Amino acid sequence: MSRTLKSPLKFILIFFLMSAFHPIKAQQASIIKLAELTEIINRNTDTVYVLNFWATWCKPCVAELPGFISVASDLQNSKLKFYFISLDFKREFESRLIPFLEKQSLPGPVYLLDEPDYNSWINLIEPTWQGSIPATLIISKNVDNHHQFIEGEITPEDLKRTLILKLLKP
Amino acid sequence: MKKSSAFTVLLLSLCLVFTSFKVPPPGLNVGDKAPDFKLKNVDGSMKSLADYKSAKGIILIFTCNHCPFSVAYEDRILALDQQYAPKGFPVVAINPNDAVSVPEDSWDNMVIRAKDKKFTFAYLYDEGQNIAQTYGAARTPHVFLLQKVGADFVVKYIGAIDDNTDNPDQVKNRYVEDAINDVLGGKPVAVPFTKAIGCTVKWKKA
Repeated sequence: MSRTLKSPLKFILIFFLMSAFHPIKAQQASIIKLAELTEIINRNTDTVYVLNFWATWCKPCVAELPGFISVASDLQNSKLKFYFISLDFKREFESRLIPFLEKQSLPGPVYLLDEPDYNSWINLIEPTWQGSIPATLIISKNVDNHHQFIEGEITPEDLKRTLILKLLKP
Repeated sequence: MKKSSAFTVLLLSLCLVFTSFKVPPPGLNVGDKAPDFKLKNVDGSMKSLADYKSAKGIILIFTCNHCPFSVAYEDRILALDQQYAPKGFPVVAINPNDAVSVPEDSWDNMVIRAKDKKFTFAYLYDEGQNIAQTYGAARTPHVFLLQKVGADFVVKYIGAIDDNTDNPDQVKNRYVEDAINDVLGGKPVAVPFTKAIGCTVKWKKA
């Protein structure tokens, strides 16, 4: 952070150059607490939210990321927003998550959820959740007042079909 | 028209059948009798709950080689066995994963891991995945604390080992230890069920 402040002009310039030539925004990642996650989940909006719970160490999670990228690209002009909630360890944020994201740009912000006492919050997200990942939460509160939770992998076809149905609702 | 709608119904019911297969069975609940098993241990012998004749209970843990959460808990699982086996609650670890999906969790690799880490407890291979299904193991690590009642073993606690996978120094609630201490003290288990993030059990692909 302090490094970026030293030469703000240079970074602003780089940022503008990147946004001009990159169709997908540069990857952001930050560490959040449960309050910030529930704020996203409880937002009053007509946008459909897809929250994917994943981790760099979780093979099936990493394997399904390209599916999210392709669905986001297919539906890019829709009222749709993706969030990637990483359950990587906090101490591996710099050493593991950031290097991973340098190689793979995801179509939405990446937040590492720093809440190690899983039992205290899993039921707040979804009572049926056993705790395994990947898991995906689709929220379309002001569209059809719906909250859909998928524990396990979701195919790009299923995800796209589900999202199109939701986005079609008036 | 009629034919095609009948076909649709057939298709839909087939979908339902397949979907219902994908949902894992509910498994055991706290208070249930724990079914016995006969599984191969890393020393080549076959192990059953019934072999633990003098035990007061068993700390049954579904775990594996590859999962970073299982690895993070390896030393704590060893410590549990060292602390509680003398008190009558030995650890029994079971690897439920399909080695085709995760070669690191194969039988040969289990033997190597048990040797490298000097496991003091049985590390069993649930090759058919029937025990994981029967118990309702959803992730690794996943603990089922069993208490011996007469000739049976009864489930007293299901869930996580403690409340901080990442940092053992910052653990506040030692769920398994607390549950054993409640059982040893003749009290009902105060927290009999917890949830945790973990690796999915890698089921065989049909």
